[in-house]
Order: sequence, then structure tokens, then C-alpha cells
Amino acid sequence: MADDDDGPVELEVQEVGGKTDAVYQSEVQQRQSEVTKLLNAGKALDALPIALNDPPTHTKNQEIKDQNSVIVISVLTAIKEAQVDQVVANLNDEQLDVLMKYIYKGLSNGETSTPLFKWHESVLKKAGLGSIVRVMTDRKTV
Amino acid sequence: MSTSEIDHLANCITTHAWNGDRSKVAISPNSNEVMIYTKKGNTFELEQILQEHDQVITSIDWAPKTNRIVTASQDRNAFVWNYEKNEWKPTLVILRINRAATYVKWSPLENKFAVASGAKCVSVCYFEEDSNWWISKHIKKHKSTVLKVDWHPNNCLLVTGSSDFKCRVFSAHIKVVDKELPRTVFGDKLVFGEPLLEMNASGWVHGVKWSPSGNLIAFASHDSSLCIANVSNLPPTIQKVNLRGLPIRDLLFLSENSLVGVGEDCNPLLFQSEGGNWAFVSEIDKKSEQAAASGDSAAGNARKLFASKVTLGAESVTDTKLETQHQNCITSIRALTAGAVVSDFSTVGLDGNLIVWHTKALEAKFKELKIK
Repeated sequence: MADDDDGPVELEVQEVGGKTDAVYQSEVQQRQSEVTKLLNAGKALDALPIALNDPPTHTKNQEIKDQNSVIVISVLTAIKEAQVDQVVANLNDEQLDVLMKYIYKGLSNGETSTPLFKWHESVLKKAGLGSIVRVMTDRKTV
Repeated sequence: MSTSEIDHLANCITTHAWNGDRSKVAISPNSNEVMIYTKKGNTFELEQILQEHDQVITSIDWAPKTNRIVTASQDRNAFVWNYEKNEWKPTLVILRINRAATYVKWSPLENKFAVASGAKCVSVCYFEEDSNWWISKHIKKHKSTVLKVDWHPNNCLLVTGSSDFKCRVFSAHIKVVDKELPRTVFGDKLVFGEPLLEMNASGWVHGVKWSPSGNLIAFASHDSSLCIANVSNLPPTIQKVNLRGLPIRDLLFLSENSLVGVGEDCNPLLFQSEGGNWAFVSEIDKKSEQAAASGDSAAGNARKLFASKVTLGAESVTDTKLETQHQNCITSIRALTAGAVVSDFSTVGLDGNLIVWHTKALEAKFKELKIK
């Protein structure tokens, strides 16, 4: 048979809705300034939806992704442990999936693990094991 | 009437299929044998063991009208079994694949069957009268293992789910076998093996099913999600439902508006559409209120701890028994009753249990489980 290649096949998974790196870069910077403003004003709870909104999943530039993840982790650590459950209760399914991705990204760095474990417990209770499966299987990483 | 009946038939069951009058069931106990059980009263009795394959049998399908069994295995072969003189006689099918067969399904008219395989192709087989042989034609175009197939009610369209993250619709129209070309939304010219539709998924596509009318395709993928595509108009409108739990492996439409998914949660999940909007309704294997309440009392736990200390020398209660009736992943789901609304269905799993579920009794017990 003609296509009998036993080697690994490069699967082209179409990435719909990707923006250029330049657009992502400016978006991240804008997000950074908005979030810093809110954190300085003590409004960490308002900063979370903005931080989680529209993550740069389609870019191949790891730096842009890392910059965005720094913003999200800074918001997560700014929110007090006692408020975590209430905040999670107000997030919708899409935001919960994005949040779970950032929790795992943050845990892989190993620095801010204590608050992230609290977030993990809370999101798992609300979104279920499915959110973790989606972190592991989604090719569009944060 | 009870909501379900459970039978432990083997250590582990990979797949099952019922005969036409539902008096017999053929299972593959994760080995190279097919075990045929007959229902005698309330229990199942082992009637026959079919041995011909060399490796694990991955899939079995039993044609209800023509009473033929087709089995597909990791040994890259498929056999069609005919019942003659109280014995099942196998006929080898030349699939021409160099990888394992993963799934097999008879077409609605039972004159063809499709075999999905790890050779990135689907073999559509039909019986050639002149040579007295089952001949296969290949549908390629897949970039990786094909995990599942399902036939459209018109006997010509085939939907496939593959581990290349896509769900595709092909024409499996064979001129010698199918007399006329059906009119479909995909056009009038249906060339065999031509991909008519390609839909993206975010994970390996484990389960694919056409709805009873053929207007919807449901596909479940490994990222714990279920997509339902309405193909009555092209381009299709696709709805994605994210699951709370683990991925779904197999699907069954109970009616045009109700869908049951089974998988690694060990619990059948019911989905329903409200005017075209699909959503998760409920788990089907639920403990009734009283049972749930009494199971968790402190006294009960203390008694369990003491009992396990005495019998096993255990220091703490490590209960590995799941609350659901299935103790391991459910691998396959089949309808027991035909007709517009399926009222009974069966599931088998890696725990070796065959459970028959009765929806009428479930509806009576739990108000949320109303099948539309």
C-alpha cells in the first residue's frame, strides 16, 4: 500500500481565530496595565475576569503566553483564601476551564503552590474532573 | 418494576451484541474468544464459545434479521459467522489491513459491514455472489487510527471517528450492493470513499452516532466533551457540551431528542435537547434518597472500620467499591427495544458486568429522567 509510513504523522490541527503575535502582544500589555490598576486599588476580585478573558492560546510565541500567565497568577495570589470559593462560584464554565489551565501552569513553576492548591480544590469541586481532562487534552495551551 | 438488572458474565467485557429477539448476547471477555450467552429465566447461561481469532476481539456486531455475527480483532482479521445446524461457522473476510481492527458494524440492511482499523482506513465489506467471498473496499483519508463508525439509516452514508481529532462523513455506496443512490443533503453524486464532511474535535473521537432520523450526528471526544452536529442543512451547526466528568466512550440515541453517553465515569449520562439546544440532564445510575442517606452514617462507618480491622487488619476504611453499579469503565451500550423511542438498553464494562436498564422504571423513580 502506498501510504505505509510507520513514522510519526504530523497532524495539522487547524487553529481557527488566531491573531497575529503583534495583536496578542498589545492585548497582553493592555491586560497587564488594567489588572495592575485594579490590584493596586485593592479590587482583585474584579481583576480576575479580565485576566482570564481571551487567553493567547493560538500564538506559538512562548514569551507572550508566559507574560499572560504571570498576570493571571498575580491576581490569583492577590485574592484571599477565604474569598476563593465565592469567586469560583461566580465564574462561568468557560472561565473555569481557562482558570484550571492557568492553575496547572502555575503549579508547574512550583513557586506559588499553596494558594494554587486551594484554587485547584475549589475549581475541581465546581467544574468536576472534566476540566482537568480538558487541561490535559487541549492542544491550545495557555 | 426494577430499574436495572445486573449480571456478572466475565472478568472484563470489551464489547457485546444482542441477537434479533434479544434472547442471546455475544460478548468478548477481552480475549480472542466470543462467548454466547442465552437468557434462561433470570440468568444467563453460557451456550457456546467461538474460537477462531488469534488476538483480542475488539468488536462484535449481530445482524438481527439475517442472524449473522461479524467479529473484528486485533489480529487484523474479521470473521462472519453463520448459524448452520446448531453451530456457528466462520468465514474469513479479507480486510487487507496491516493493523488491528478496532470496530465493526453491520449496515441497516445487513448487506454490508464497515470495519474501522488502526491502518488509518475503514474497510467496507460486501458479499460477492460469484466468488462466494466477502470483499472489502477501503475508505482512506484518515490521518490516524479510526476508532468508530456508524451507518446512516439510508445504508449508504458512514460517519467515522478517528484519533486524528476529526469526525468525518463518507459515502459508502457500493453500486453492486446498493441498487439506487439515496438523495442526501450532501448532494446526489456519491462517490465511494469520498469525504463529504469533516468536523473538528479537541481530542480522539471515541464515539459517533447518527440520530434515528439521520439529521444529527453526535460525537464524543477524549477531552470530555460531546458535540452534536445538525447535518440537515449544510454547513452543519455544531453544539459542544462540556462534561463534568471523564470522557465518553460510546453513545446511543434513545429518541431524536434523548441521547445516552457511557464511558469512564462508569455511569450512563443522559442528554436531552430542548428545541435544538442540547444539555446534560442527569446521570442514570442514581442512588435513591434513602439509600444515600443511610450509607453515610457515622455508626455505619465505625462498624465498617471495626469489621475491616478484624477481617483484614486494616487501620482505616479504604473502600474501593464505586457507588455506581458498574465498577469500571463502561465500554459499550446497545438498544434492546427497537422503535421510535428506545425503552430498554444494556451496558457492559471492564468490570465484567452486563446491566440492562429500563427507562420506564427509571422515569417513574426519578422525575428528571423523562425520555422525550
